[in-house]
Amino acid sequence: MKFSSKSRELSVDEVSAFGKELDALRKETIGSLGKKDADYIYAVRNFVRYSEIAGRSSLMLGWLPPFWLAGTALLGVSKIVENMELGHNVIHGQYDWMNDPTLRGSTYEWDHPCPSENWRHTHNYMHHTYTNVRGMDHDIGYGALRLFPEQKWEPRFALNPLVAAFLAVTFEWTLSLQPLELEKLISKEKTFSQVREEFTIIAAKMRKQLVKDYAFFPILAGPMFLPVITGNAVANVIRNLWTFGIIFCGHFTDDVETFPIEVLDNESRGQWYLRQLHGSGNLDGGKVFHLMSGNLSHQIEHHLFPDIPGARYAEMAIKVREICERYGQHYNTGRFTKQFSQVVGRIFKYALPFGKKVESVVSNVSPILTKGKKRLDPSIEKNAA
Amino acid sequence: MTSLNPTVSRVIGKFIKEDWLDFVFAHVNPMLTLNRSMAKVVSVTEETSDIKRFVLSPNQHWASFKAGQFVSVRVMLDGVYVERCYSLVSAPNEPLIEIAVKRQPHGKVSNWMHDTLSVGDVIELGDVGGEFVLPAAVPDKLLLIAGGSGVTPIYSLLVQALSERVALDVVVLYYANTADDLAFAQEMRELTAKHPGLRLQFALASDGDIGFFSQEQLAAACTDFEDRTTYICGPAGLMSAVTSVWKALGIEARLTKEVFGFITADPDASISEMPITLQRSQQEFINSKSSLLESAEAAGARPAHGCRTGVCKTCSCTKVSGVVRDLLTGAIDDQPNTQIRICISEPLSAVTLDI
Repeated sequence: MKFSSKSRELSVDEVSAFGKELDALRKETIGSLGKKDADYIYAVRNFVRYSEIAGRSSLMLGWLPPFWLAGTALLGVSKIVENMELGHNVIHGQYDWMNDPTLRGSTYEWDHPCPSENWRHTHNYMHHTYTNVRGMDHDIGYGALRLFPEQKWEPRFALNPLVAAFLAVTFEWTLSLQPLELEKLISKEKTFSQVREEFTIIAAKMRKQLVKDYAFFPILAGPMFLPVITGNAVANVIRNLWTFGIIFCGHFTDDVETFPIEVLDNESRGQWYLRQLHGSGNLDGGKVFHLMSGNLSHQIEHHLFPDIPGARYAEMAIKVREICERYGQHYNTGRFTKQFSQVVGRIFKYALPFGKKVESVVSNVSPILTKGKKRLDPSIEKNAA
Repeated sequence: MTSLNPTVSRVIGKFIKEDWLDFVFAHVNPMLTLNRSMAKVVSVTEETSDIKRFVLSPNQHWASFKAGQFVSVRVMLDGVYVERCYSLVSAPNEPLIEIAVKRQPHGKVSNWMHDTLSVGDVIELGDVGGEFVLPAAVPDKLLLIAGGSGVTPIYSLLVQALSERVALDVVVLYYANTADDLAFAQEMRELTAKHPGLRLQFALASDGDIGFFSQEQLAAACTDFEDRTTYICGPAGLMSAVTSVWKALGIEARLTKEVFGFITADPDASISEMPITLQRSQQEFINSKSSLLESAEAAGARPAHGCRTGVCKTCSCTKVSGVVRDLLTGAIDDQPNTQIRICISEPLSAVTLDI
């Protein structure tokens, strides 16, 4: 039985040709990086800085409601752009080619409680390499949610909608705890002392964030303590809700596929590209929307080319889409409202023990794999022995 | 422009990103930074048709240097920060510093400096480096050999040596193409008036054989060269010819060479086509250029780098495994987990780097 993939199965040669076309697009784009891209990211960084200064200053006059509202909104927008278009993309090494130490992926520290060092491992490495591979990519439900029929149902998932709402509001904090894989405490795969040890580095960064938004600036504001602390808290929640929405649309819409761990055996470059394509979904929108989503609205392009500047994804998407069409590959995209309603649908549906008896969920990647796997089939080995 | 107390800057740096503060300071004055050395161009003069001299006024973070050393200049060209090193030709401890820049045929930075950099502009300076300096006690008899733009550190050594020992016995042997290509000639001539112990010998290619280095030519220009402590900076051909003469006479220990600025990849040298693995960025490629850095760039990777000549150590990284040769010293490193500078390392086996 085939997974309900909307994409055509590709032959070995087609997979390889598909990969080569994307490699060529990658090379062409990298070759064209230059002043325009540098000017862009500096402009984004300046926007983050000016909007933060303006937002925080406005909050200092926060006893006047318009100033409180404007300050909170500005700070929220500033934090969103810092996390998404600047921080997330810089930490991916998208601007390493500029050779600017302040924009270097390996050292950039963002305005987020998750230490960049942890992020580089769980996100850049695990999630981007093993995208949507069950048992490898912890972003499938973050260990807290059941979003796919292939995930085993447990009674705790009945609370899916509540847990999701909690995650959305506290996203920065809960995301920072992701590397701890707290669900492993339930399954006894991890001990408390292990978790405590891993928590040290996270705690240090969390403390820094807490001091900044909930001690330093409110105290600096003196009599404006209350408006500033509430403004900071609301700005952080705005950022949490927005990033939650964008990120969940990236990999949890209806057409997104997940993969068994076997796909990783001898996976070719072309197969890797296909897995990234089938594991991601885009969001349609205008320029401001793309900026505010850190170009994660081009989640497909981001997963195909994680280290190419996000601002280039829009123009690359036209070519990627054309390549996908030629190879009969489904290109998952839609408006935010449509995509997010599908995510919400999943959150509710898989709270219940809906499952699917699946023999092969690998879809178009399967022909090559089954061929490869036959050689390793234990029964054949036994016969030979 | 007040200098911040180091402890104060460290405390501030713990809470605020340095680039954030520099961004704020830059609105007041681009020369105002927390740690970075910035310098304003005070004057630009044409020394020869292809050498320009830039007088710079550095900010409070500029540290001192020794005569004969160079400084790296950091500029952004087409969205990329590039660094190149240039000889410091002003005397140490002067408030203004001066560098001499030769226009290289395909040199990105030197061409930009010649064509675009003008008085009033602010540039960033990197580290000071170089081992081409005088010993603590200036030797009794000195021979300074310069070739082409290699005259820049030689000139600095000369000024320094004469300032320490006014009556020093020193010979300068300067090889150039024509009289028009002689840099610092006027200054050196003026020095001869003040220092009777200084003798200048210009050898010009336009004059025929006597303008080219040979043992005979050398012996004619400076009879007692064997007894002199010698410093040389010039093109590779001159350097190797001089070295072989000193070697043959068994006096190589008396020769100090400045190789910096004249390392050029030998296009005929065979490239070892070794498989290279960049561990963290998960890239694999076959070595295709003379250095690991160039090969990685040719393969689409973008490792951090600075001067690209083994000076600044920006490109230093952990070599997890494999054998590499240092292109400057020829030293072979076969140990696991050592720090190497990839801009001057050539792989001799499969190499894994922690990049």
